[in-house]
Amino acid sequence: MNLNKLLLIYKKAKSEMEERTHNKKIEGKNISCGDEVTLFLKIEEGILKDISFESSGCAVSISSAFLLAKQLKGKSIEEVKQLSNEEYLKLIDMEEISTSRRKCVLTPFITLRNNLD
Amino acid sequence: MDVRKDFPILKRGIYFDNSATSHKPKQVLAAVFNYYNNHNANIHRGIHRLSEESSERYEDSKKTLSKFIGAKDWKRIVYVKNATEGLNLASHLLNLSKKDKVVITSMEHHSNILPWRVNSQVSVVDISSEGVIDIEDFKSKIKGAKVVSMPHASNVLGTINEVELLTKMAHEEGAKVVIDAAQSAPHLKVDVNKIGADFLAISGHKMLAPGGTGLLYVSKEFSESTPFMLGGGTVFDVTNQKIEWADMPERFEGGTPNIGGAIGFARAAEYLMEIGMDNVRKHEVSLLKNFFKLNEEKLVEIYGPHSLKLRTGLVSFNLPGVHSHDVADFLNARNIFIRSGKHCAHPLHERLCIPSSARASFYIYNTLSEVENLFEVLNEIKEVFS
Repeated sequence: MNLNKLLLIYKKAKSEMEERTHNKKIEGKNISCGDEVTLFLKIEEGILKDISFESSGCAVSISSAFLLAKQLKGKSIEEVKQLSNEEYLKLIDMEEISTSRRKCVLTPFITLRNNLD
Repeated sequence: MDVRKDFPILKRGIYFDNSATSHKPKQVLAAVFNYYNNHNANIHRGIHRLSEESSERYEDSKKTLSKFIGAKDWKRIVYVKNATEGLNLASHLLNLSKKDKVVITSMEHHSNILPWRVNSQVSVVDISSEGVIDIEDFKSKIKGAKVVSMPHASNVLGTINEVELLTKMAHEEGAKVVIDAAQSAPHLKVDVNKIGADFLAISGHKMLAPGGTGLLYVSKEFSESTPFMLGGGTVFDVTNQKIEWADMPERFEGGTPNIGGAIGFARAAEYLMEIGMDNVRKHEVSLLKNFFKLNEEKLVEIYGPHSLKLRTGLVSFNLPGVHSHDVADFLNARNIFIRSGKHCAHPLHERLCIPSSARASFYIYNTLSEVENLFEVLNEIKEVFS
């Protein structure tokens, strides 16, 4: 993903972040740079029926939360738990992100994956 | 400053990450190269010519560095791999227990927090909104302290602390004083005698020397303490019944040291002394002036003192509405290299109530036009992110 595309997604993500109806809320942080993300999940019969989010942090982290909500909505909890970091990066078209920004991209995803029962 | 020809790496881009580590001039690299090509051997143990040459050069490097920091006796200098190791060694030599009070400040790098936190009771002196040590709080907190450990200059705020005065105050209360000079020694004249501290730690790699170099100045009072790193070189004699420790500094340098690094460290100090630390300081102040002038319209929010007399050549800042990592990433795309994040100073960022900051740190090879380039791109980032 190039910078221009990332910026477009970032601006869209900032304008669209909101807390929608949910039955599970999870929070994650990237301590080293202060990124924070809250994911609001509507889970029905093991399926992520809806994902909304609120986030403060860098453009990469906020864009990742936005793309996560789009790409993982409708997937089963089991499917998400099986997803590797690399598969996630590919899914949101950020597999070429620099090593130093991987943590920014992965924070929303790892927050989600680690908190699914 | 006519030094850029000595740093071929500058062709890679504008390097404003000098507080993390500096570039190395050709002269330093040549000194290390020459040592390994012509003199290499282990020190202190051999009778042969090469070992003698190595030993001489190793000791000479300490003589150069003692001149650099104003130490009267080169044997007070212990080589460590960086200031972090130096501060850990100081903490060990002070032989603290959980009952002992150690005073630090709100502007510490983690390396001057953690060695104290694990083995003593730490009390933290507050700073003003401009990032200067609150002297009244300092006076009150140092009462009953066994140790006061503080930075000569902050790695985030750039604040230059009045370490001479603060050391005197701490000594009057009976405390020992440790100075983290990692961010001052590369940029200002550091004089251990004038400061009067019991310990002073420096990282060589931040002042043009190779990685893995640093020193801890240890006052005479601690010269008979039990070493931290035990092994070859630290003893006169070992029998199955007793250990007879070597004198300083050998007793604190267990194992074969980084001899080539020491040669490079000394050459870096010589290089800086040839320029003159007053000229280094003047040059950095001119870059700071340019930064502050270009920020007259408050494009970025600057942390730390606004008086240039009180700060070293670094500026931590935030561009409102843009995360520091995004600023650094965008600048990187324009070949301008800065730092972003919390700079190993999480408590300070908490104190400043900011999640992170961007940091541009200058050195002798940076130019006024490079600072102008930085602002051109910062303006571009503001546009793009608005």
